[in-house]
Amino acid sequence: MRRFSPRSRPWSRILAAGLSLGGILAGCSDEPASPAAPASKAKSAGSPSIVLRDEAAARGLDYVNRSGEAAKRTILEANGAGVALLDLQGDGDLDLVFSQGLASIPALLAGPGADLEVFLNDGKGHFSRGRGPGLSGWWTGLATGDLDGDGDMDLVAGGYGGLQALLQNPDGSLSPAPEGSLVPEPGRLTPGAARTKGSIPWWATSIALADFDRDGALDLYVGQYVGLDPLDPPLGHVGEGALGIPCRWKGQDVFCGPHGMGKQKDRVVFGRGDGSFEERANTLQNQVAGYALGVAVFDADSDGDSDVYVANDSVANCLWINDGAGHFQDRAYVANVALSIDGAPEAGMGVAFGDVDRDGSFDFALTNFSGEPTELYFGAPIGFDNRTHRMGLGRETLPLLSWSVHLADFDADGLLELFTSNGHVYPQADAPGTGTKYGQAASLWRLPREGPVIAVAADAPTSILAPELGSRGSAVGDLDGDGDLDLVLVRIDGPVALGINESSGLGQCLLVRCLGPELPAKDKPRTPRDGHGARAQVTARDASGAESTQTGEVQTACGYQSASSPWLYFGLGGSSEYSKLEIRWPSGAVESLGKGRAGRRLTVVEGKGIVAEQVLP
Amino acid sequence: MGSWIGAWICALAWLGSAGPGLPAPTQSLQPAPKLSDVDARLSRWEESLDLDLPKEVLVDGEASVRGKGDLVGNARAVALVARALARSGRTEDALELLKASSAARPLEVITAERARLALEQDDLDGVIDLLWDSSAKTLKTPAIPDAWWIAGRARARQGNWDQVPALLEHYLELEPRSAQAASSWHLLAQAALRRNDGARAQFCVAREEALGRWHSYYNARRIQVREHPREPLPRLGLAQLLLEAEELARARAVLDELLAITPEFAQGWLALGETQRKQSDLAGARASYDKALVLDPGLDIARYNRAVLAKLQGRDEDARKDLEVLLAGPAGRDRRFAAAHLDFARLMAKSGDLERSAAAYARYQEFGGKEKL
Repeated sequence: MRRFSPRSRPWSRILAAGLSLGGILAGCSDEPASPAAPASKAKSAGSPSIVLRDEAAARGLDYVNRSGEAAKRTILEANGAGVALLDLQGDGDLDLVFSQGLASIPALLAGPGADLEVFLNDGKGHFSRGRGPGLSGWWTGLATGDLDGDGDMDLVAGGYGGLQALLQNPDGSLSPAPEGSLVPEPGRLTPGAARTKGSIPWWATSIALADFDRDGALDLYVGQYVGLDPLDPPLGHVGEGALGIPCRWKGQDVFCGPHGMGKQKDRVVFGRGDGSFEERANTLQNQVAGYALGVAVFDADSDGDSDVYVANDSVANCLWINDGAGHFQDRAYVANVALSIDGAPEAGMGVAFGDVDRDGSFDFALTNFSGEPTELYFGAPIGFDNRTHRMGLGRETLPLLSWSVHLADFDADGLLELFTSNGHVYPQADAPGTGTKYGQAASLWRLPREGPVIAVAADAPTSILAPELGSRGSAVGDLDGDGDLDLVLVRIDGPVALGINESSGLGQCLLVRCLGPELPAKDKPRTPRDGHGARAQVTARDASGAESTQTGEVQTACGYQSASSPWLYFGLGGSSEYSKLEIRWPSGAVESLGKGRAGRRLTVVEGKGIVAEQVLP
Repeated sequence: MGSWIGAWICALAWLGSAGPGLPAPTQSLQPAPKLSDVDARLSRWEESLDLDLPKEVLVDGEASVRGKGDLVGNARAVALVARALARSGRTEDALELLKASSAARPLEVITAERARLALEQDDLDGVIDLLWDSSAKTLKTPAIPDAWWIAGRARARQGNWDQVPALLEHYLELEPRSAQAASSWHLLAQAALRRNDGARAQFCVAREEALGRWHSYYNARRIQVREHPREPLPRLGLAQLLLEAEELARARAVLDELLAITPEFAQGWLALGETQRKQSDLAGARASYDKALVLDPGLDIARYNRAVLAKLQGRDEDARKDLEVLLAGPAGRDRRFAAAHLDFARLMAKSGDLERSAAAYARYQEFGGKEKL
């Protein structure tokens, strides 16, 4: 094994935008931005059709989301729930945990609150209900990781007035960690307990587990949203008297927020490695509160640590660049990812990253409100290059209000697709003349190496892309054990969809699970036991016969309020083998594992190489 | 209320600067020309679109630009209705309307609107085809300000950043404070970052932020005025914003409306006085400050403004009286009125009362004043 020498892109050293832009930019590379992709209307030849059949009911997945009243009189009721994929019971498959809301805010105040809902996988993608952890609240975002370093995956649940660490027991059940509640009073909301007006619960939306300080213990980024008093929610207008502003959208009365309501600051808490966490001062430096909805963790500047991108609703987004010790500076503006390309703050919802153009640096997608595009940013010499409009994604996505998002290779052809869950926040969107509607089908696009995106149509009414129903959180992973990517889609106020991948003519794939050492190294930096932050690169011949490298990073926080599989999925198209597999561990070690056969599920442990290899069916 | 006074202290801008970070004023000191009925109607449509209310435009305007409608030949009206159609999800209808309106004049407005639609449809090459004369290397429609930002934005979206500055800098010369100005400064900042020109980027970001903030307040005030048409505070806030941007004629029009509705509103007279002073109507300003102080003798800012006006006009005795009253009250202990102590010190020095001058100047310095006596 050799050590990783950080070669971070130079923009990451630029201090935060604003008054300090001047002199420090002198350090920037003068390399030109990537050239525009030539427009192409051609469909990608030879790609198999992608079929994601909704088999939730047939496979025993009977989760039904509750998210307040149909009229959606408050912003809490519009945001829906998420889902987490994690192996409970240690049987090697991905089980499901859903967050859950309630029928109304009064129901929350009266109690009892909702529990998380657990579904156990039989390994073939059939589910049965498991025992919930016994929580009581209105739950939103979920994050997965091995909090206590015991080799199994644990969970953190975020909510409106709640944030709870849960440890997995030997029998696969989840129990609150000894110091489980991560919300101090008075930010906590306990259903059924007396409250006074003016006490504002902390509202966690998307949350993410990652090892920010590289000590081998997972830390937690908590995206926080808006200050909503459950006893006195704004109705009709925000502000008082003659300076009050009506809560209207396109001339129609709608619920209030987030504009005009208090912003809540995001938090970072650092894991001690036993399921407990601690606060540290000055972690998010010069922080300005936003309305966070989406959080994605990835190594944005390729320097070997975990950075955080936060999709904020209606205000500028944040790109928190980590110094490797868990101190962050927001460099979104200089990286060109704070605002739309035109400089407008957008209503950011969800985030997903991936190496779309296979250049070894990560790209990411950001979902937004209707009238705003889903943005596609590509890693560039200075920050990111916004290619949304060059790729025709603006036109495709303007009518959509999108939430969760994935950059994933559903057909294993080696090119990532873009998935978004969609659905308007306002039931009033169905009125004529809004240019959009309340129920919206989920969307999938191919992202060809050149030219505009290509929409993938629903092949049948049973496709998860067919129903015009609003959805929120989603997660991807191989749920039925056949090696391809399936997708769980959390609809709002309705039954969940389980998109089982039944695409024909799929390419070869390689699944890699990266794990840190069982006994942590004495020195820092260390790799967490569950491999969070490990980056794998697979080189194989692509359809043209040329060698091409794909890059993935172990991060489970993805999309909106959800956690996807910790496995890395690489589509190898027609290649039956790969020529190189290399893993860069958070410890700094780089492990080169040589060539191998496709169609495998590999488990790699730092320092031990491939410890398990399973042929895919 | 405190913040309102604080804002007014800033907005006093007695000594001539434009609003914070805003481009230099270009407004004439003449009263605003009276808008024709058509222009007023189209301005209302523009406001509706600014406030994301396309339906209002369609209800009032769609029939007017079709068939034998009264605005069929008016390109600005056609463009606004087309924009409203597109924002209502009727993009095809918008395109059809523009194509069917080739007789509308000036035709360049229709061309620019087609380019705007092409931009929204990600047809970036289409935008350039419509607007750019590649042989002359300039715009085909240079007289239409919007064409400059549309072309600049298309170039940015294409990734052709080197071509962005010339287009957007020209646009900002034409329309320094428009709703598209903040975006233009943003794109100029991004272009500067790509050239490693940090100083230019910093300059552009400052303008982007100032204009963006101004427009968000401007839209909020316009919504408040629509929502509470009989209430004085929203109109006052709107006028204050226009004053900050040196849009004096428009500020004056808003204040005239305000005082027609609520003539006993002292703050409105104060704002009117400030507007008149900036318009060089010093007699009008003095009368407005007088009126404000009759209605509210405790309105310290009006008294201070009147004193400074008197001092500028050489009416030192009037200035002295107002400053004495002002500084004897709570304003004398308010550091925001530090400049009043300096003014008083100078008046006293001029009149030979060096003892009172020294005392006032010492108070000014206590409040952190650095100017020489």
